[in-house]
Amino acid sequence: MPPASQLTFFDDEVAAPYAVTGMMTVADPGAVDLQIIIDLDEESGSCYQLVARGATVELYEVVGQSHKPLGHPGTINWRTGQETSFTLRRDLWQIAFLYAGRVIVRGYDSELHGSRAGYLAQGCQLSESFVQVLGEMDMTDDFMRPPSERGPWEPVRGSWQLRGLRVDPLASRMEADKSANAFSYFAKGSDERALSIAGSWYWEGYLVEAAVRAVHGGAIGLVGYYQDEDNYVGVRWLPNGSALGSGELQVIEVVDGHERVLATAPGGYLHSQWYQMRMGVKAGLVCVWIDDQLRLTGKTTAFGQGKVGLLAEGNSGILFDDVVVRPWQVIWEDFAEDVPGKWNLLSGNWTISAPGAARVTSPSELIAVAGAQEWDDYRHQVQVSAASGAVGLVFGYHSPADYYLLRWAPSGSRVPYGGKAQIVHVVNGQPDVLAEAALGRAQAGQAAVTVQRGLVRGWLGGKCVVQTLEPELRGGAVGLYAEQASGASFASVYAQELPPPRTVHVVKEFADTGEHAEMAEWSSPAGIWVAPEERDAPEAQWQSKGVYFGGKEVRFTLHKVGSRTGTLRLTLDADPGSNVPGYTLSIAATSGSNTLTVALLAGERSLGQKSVEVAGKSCGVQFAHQGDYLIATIGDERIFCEKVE
Amino acid sequence: MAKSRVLPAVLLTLLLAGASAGQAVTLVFEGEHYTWIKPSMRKGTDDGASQKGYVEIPLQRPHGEQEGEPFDDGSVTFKINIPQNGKYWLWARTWWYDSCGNSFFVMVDDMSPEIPTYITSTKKRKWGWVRGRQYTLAAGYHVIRFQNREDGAKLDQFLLTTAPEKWEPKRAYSETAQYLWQPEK
Repeated sequence: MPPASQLTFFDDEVAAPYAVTGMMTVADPGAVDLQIIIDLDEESGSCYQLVARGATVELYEVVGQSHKPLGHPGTINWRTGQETSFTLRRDLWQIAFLYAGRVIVRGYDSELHGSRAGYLAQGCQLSESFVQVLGEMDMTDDFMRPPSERGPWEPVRGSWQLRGLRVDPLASRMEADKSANAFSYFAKGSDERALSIAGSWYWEGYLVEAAVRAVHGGAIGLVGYYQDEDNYVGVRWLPNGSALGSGELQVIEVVDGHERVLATAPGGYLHSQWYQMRMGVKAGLVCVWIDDQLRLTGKTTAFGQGKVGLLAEGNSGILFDDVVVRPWQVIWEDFAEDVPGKWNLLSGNWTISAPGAARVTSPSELIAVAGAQEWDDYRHQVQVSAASGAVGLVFGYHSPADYYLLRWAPSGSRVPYGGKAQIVHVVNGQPDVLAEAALGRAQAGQAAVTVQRGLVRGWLGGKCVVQTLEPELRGGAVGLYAEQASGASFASVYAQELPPPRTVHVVKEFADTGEHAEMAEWSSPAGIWVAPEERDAPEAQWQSKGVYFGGKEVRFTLHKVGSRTGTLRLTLDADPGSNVPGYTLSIAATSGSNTLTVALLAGERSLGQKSVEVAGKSCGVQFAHQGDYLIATIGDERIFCEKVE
Repeated sequence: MAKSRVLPAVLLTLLLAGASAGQAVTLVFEGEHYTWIKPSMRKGTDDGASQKGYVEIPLQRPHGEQEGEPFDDGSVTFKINIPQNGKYWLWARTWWYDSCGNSFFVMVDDMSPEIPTYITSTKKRKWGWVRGRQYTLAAGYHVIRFQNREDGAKLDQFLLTTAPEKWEPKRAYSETAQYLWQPEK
């Protein structure tokens, strides 16, 4: 570690996530001696240190005299005499060094938070170096603009044009509010692959999705980690019977113009059918979803950051619409190799000996933690096998003194909770059992924990076996747990943020269909409701047209509290005309009073009643059925939280 | 509204090939600290804006649902003192209302350009930086104007920087008011 006096510091104070980047020129590869220091705490001297000596590149966490390796050393092919880009990324958990767009070394750590960055370069020259703040990565495009405005897209190859309104010579009017896809981006790649690119060079860990439709034939695709037209990864989808290849979904990697197929899944697309295509890239993992179904997974070792793009092949043309780019918080581990520093073993030991699995070797307790996620809703899953003892998942980890467990053990285990699955909050070493359920025989296979709007559920073999509500649970790392389970093995760890729930938005004008009464049934915001025959009748009831499965929540604002006397009843999970009355939140108001009488009913059976004082003239109301819980909130106050069958 | 963290006034360290080290120059100006203003451009306040202030072309009723001519030439103009010759990228921190309220005309020194330049992006209903053009500016005074192109557009800050094209601003930055000329009150 060089003394601070020898370092060239950047003026900016740094805080993850950020990247140090610039250009590098190497005359003699054998003479290179480069050190880049990031997250330096000037008082303690702790930092992350990248060391490039000759062709070897290594990454360390430096604390006091200790130099802890992060990741595996990398080998670099210096481009002698050429000014070449370099980047040292400091994401929230991942640290990666890239040269000429290629990942050379990648490590994982989130312990240090120093505020300085600098370097010492010998045997090479750095130029145009600066600190780039990362984060705030998002983009949407519905292509609603005149053709003269290109928007964020830069066509690289092929023909690209904005299309406004459907081209229909028989239509006497073309009105955007009558069309589901009035604007789109149309591509043709006649003799070559058409590419159009957007975003920033430093984007990493993102989902890019688009509505896609092939007019007739051709390849549809998305691009990520784009460096230039000869270097990127992507997804490519072909129809059955295509001249471009068999009907299948592909993850491809293009390096210096040479294309390689990393993974495939059978099944081509149907012509003239709209699909939602989504690709995620993070730390070399590439995942592909079609219409929300995970269809394909691949791994790339080439690139670690880059722009997004749209891909099209063929003469007929491909339509793209509703492009969305957003961060993708995901942790994945296939245990193909033991990456130093990736897993923090708080207690116990394991070996990654059999390719694709981590085997517990310690007889007592094992806790292994990874990640530094800022998510609220997520799913953490693993393939697990244990002949005896307890195994589990760690989640919501903030420190050794504060974390959660989903753990289970078969009957006859030596642990106190044999025969049970538990959700536990461990505080200062003391387990607080939040929920538990009886468990049959030993469970092997996939296990998962989901955290969604405070509802924590444990899943074994695809079945929810235990659940509880923890509204204060926020963020935290995830991990693996074993107790008295030497020989247990973990494989295929996958934790990802869950998307926000889809909403059906009802605006305040939902009852006003005066201008186009004939459209009321389908085109106005009231279209999702079946209106009562007499809207002003004392107990007029609006019912949703849709049938909603799984967890649901209704939110609205109650205005002018105290202005009139009346009762509002909001019912979930009802089936009119049958014997399923559902669950009802009844809110009774009295003229001249700010007090609401709120009742929760299962059918006509009362589950509780409370009085609520409303400050002001309006209040927000939320009524949700999540898992086994009914939750009602008025303003900021949770009124009911009842567990129901 | 997401919290915005104000970063210190920046002088980016820029190492040029060769013996001498240079520094990138970045000048930051608050939209509401203009030199001159012409209606319909007006000031506004928002927690998400730097120093909670911005300028805007107010939303018209009815708001344009199709692209068309601006209804007036409301504007804010800044007279600034560039400290050294250089090529400066312009970035503006803006808030767009919708696809028909997402641009400003930008004039630098030439207030009647033959081909008007404008800044725009597809990010709507949140504060974000938009890249403009790169301008070659000599040391000394220059005039920059943001003018009505579509109603519903807001300007929080803008900056001029000699940092490399790859550099992108994030969040809001501290103002470099010493480079802004203000008429004597």
